[in-house]
Amino acid sequence: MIDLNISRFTPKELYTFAVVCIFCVVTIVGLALSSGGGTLRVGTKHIEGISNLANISNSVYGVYGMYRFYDTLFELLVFSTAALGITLFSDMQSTRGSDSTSSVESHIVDTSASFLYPIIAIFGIYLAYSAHRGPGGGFAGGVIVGSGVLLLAIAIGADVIGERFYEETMKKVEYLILILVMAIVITGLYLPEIVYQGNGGLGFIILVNMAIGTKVFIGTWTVLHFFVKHRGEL
Amino acid sequence: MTTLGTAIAIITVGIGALGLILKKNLIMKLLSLSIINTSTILFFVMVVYTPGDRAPIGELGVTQMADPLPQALVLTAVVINFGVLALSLLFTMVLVKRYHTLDIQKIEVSVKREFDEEKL
Repeated sequence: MIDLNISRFTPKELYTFAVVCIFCVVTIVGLALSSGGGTLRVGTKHIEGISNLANISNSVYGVYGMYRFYDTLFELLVFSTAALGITLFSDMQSTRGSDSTSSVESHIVDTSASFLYPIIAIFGIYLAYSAHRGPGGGFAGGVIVGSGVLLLAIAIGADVIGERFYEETMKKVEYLILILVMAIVITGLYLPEIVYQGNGGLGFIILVNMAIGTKVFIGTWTVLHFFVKHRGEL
Repeated sequence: MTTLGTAIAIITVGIGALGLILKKNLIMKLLSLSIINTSTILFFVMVVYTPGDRAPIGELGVTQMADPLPQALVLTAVVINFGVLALSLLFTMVLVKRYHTLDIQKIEVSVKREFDEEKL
């Protein structure tokens, strides 16, 4: 038996609940009434245009070169903003004692991390390298390699890994890669036959994907390392 | 388009909005924000789902190709969720270090008191 005593709630809670319910009902009814025309296909026009492009043999690369590329660029900008905020804050923060960064002392975690990390890294690099032919992409590959390094950091300690990866150099490389990718994309706006279709129909796509993968790996590692280093402080 | 799926996605957005407005714990607010983001992704998937669509991988000229535009939007949504969560967890850490509580009302009272003391 559910107790439906309304006086338990404050007027603000009841008001919020009513507004959210009205929003849900109106949106669902509107969608149900308007869905008579079958499926929504926004990008069909672009897909059909891909077949007419010269020198493109692969529809994944067609979709990627035509509009996923700009999407990825702005994803990179958002990701860089988040990583930059965390980098700035972790520079301002005084480093605490080493008790919060000690590793998990377990042989199972240790052994499985050192066994799994090469496989995870190779899988991520493969995803970034073959993103013009199938599913994947530089973003997904970079995040996978970064999570693999996080596994290693949990197993053998974040400080050891942080020293091994030369964080200061990595931060510089990150922004150099961002500038490089943006330069290639802006060149592609004016010279698409060189950037997207030159080099035997491949263009610079492998270089750009690997660069994006490296950048996202560095950003992921920056963010995750910060949270591993400061875990247990809330 | 699946009407049941979109209805579930919209109801989940409502649940997330209720948590975002009514919960007083900052971490719970961030979890509700994450629920809203996930249900937005569910909404995109449910709106464009059509039985029999194929991914345009491999050769050219696949008939009944799946629409790639919502997939790109979903990727952007995932990345933005990651960035927003990371930055707001950072700000939560800053607030907790300064005021030693997660309750948003107590933090507001403390901030207001500090502001009044500065003005005097």
